Amino acid sequence: MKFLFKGIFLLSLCIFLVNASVIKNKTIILATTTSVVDTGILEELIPLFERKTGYFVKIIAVGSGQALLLGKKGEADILLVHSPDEEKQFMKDGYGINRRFVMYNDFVLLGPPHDPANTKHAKNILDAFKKIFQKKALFISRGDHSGTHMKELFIWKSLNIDPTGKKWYQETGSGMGLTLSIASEKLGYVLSDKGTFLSLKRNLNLQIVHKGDKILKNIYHVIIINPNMFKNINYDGAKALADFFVSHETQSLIKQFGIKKFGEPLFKTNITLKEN
Amino acid sequence: MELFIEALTNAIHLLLSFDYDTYIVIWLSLKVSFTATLISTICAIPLALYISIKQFRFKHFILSSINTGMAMPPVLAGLFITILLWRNGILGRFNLLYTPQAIIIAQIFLATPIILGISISAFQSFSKKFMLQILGLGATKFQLFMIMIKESKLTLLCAIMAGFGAIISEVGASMMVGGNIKGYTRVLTTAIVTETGKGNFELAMAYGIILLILSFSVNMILTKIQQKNKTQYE
Amino acid sequence: MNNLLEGKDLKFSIKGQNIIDLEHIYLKEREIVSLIGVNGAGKTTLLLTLSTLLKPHRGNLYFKGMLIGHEIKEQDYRKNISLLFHENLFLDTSVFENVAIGLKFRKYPRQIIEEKVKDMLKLLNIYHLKDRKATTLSGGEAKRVCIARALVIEPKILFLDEPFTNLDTPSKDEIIIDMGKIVKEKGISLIIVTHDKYEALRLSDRIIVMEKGKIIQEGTKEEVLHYPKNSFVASFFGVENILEGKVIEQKDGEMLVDVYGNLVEAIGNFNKGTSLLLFIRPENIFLYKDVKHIKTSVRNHFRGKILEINNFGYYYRITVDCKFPIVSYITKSSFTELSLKINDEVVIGFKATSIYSTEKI
Repeated sequence: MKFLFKGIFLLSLCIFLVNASVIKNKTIILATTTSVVDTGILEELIPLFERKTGYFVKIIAVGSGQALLLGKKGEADILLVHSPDEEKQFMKDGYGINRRFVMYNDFVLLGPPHDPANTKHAKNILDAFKKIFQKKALFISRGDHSGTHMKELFIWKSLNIDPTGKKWYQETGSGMGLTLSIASEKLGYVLSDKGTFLSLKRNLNLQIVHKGDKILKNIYHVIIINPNMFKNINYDGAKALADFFVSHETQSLIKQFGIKKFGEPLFKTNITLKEN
Repeated sequence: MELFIEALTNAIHLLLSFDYDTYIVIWLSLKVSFTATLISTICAIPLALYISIKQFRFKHFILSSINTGMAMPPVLAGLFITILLWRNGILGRFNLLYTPQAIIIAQIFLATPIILGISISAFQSFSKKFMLQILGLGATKFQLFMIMIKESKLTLLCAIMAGFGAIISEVGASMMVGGNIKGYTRVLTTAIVTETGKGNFELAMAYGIILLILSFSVNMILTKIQQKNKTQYE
Repeated sequence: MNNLLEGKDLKFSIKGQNIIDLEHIYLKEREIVSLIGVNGAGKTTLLLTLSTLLKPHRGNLYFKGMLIGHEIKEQDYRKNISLLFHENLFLDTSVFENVAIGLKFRKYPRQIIEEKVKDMLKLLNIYHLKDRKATTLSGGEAKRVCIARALVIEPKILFLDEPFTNLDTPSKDEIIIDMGKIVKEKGISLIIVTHDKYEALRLSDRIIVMEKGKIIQEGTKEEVLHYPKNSFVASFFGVENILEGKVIEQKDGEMLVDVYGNLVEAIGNFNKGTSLLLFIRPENIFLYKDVKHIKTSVRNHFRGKILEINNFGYYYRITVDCKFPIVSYITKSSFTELSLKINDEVVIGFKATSIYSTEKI
């Protein structure tokens, strides 16, 4: 009788495994960053794509660093990330093919209302960071190898400052939204993408203290994983989705996203923009 | 405090207005955890009978492993199952990663030791003499097992409630193997994480309250069944 | 004519030590056998082996001549037997459902189960308890439920392991009588493991004595009592005299009993006409050379001739033929004083108070 139970279990297991594998070719795994997902733009765009093509897109939201790692293992079909230096290395190593620009937005430096390090009067972003360092003002970092984190580290590196381990520098290891809440709570400085900030502004006790530098451009690219490097890559699906992102209709939609909710668009799509 | 009250009102509003997103999340949570609990129970109880009755070598080792498994961190189980289900992993060909089935598998992994461990201690409380007496009255082995299950109903239901409770409230495994895909693998716990990450604290709290209501309702039903048997022959 | 149950060459050992090791054991239809021995003699192990709940390391069992395990399946054999342990092991449910359990295992339809259980409960005078939770009962009532449970399935063989130990005597007596009636009527064979000699002697047709896993003696109660194979058997019983009698008169707790044509004074309140078994310990049988020497408190005396003298070191065992055998234990000094020899004429005497009497079943 125990044997009968075990038999029923194995049978159901087989049925359910088979069931899951049937939708393979219609599924695309898109690895992207939490900052993009948190803005809600994908929730608007992806359903359009799915309706048009019949594909099912699995959006896996992790930090840029992790997304690239998934790509390196062939565990995703397509990436939408914003870590240009690492992306270039990724392409050079042959993991991805067909990297294309999709959209960009700005990073901004946020700080507490009383601006203890007087960053509002900084000449540029590097100077602002330097002021924070000199004042030993509380700075909250993502600390998760996301695009935002990499950008922030780039700025510190340019100043030859290593803030890790210092008491005023705290790493949350979390997504943008949570990091902003923490910064708001603790009255610290934080580098953020504008989109997430706008989404959460009303709940936050932070203000934009510096913005606009060329360095602060936050650029998103879409990369198709090289099907010749890994088996099981849904190349057709990935290509269709990549084409969708860069298509004229989608680009217009992206340009308008956010106007209703925040009064200004969250992303820009000027294709002729040069990368830094 | 006001956050809490706002969240509570939000929760009730979401439930009563049949908010689509919310109900999908609730449905997924229940579907996944019920299925996992059911399968775990079907596997665990016969196995528990076997382990408690049979004498075999390494019995102590196995019992210790089961007890350790009861405290398995969900995120660890999630990591382990993720590695198995990766495209390049051993079970990659089934394309189970980021599906509800993957969550069910991970949750079976978490619930089974719990149900198994508690059931074994229930069955071990039967004396050898008791089993001989039942066999001596003409029972087949299967009939003996049915009697043992019936007599331990209280504890077995407790085991099932413990297993269900552990998995409906876990987030580590669901997040990892499910991918938290909206409308597909986003369950109550992972939705709480998402909304918190976005800073939508009231919504996150509302989901939390809904999760508690759900958990409480299921446990109430099971407890009622459990206690019903107690008062029958007073 | 095959024996109902037969065991050949049975052996069971733990860590090299033989728990049971016997050549032959059998049980006839409608027979009641007592299995007697001290704790650790292997009685329970033998019982479990005979009911196939324990697999022997060697040996074969035959049910009605069929080899169990080959000509008849173990499971099928077990449908013909029933088991009753010393402990009252109940299910957490009503008395009714507990008693019904064996019938449920045999897949009887509900209606038949209800009928059979009701009848059995009434026979054992526990019908009024049928809806009580079985685990709330104790003592005699609980035991009756266990007996009902074992008998309602009408087994061919009922195995009992010290069923009446720890019951108070009045309850025990009543239960033995009630159970005895049912068993005799339905023709059920019993094997009772006991270390209570009185129990065994009342019910049994045959007694098997075990020691250290072996059968050291087997026979009717008279054989075992009067012709013990060794001092162990003799001293185990300690009761060497069982007389049969019929109550002639009873008044205020004093009875006059006809024992093989002789009048014996005994104590008890059995009614006139009841058949009795009278047990007298040999230490309580006094020997006199002459009637003149008898004390007045010793109300019962009979003349007889010495049949046998056994020297057991500290005491002598004297068998006297008074038209029925009587055994007396006397000290060495008494023996020397009386200077007894075989064929000597003696008078034996015993007090009314040293007779333990029970109803004969």
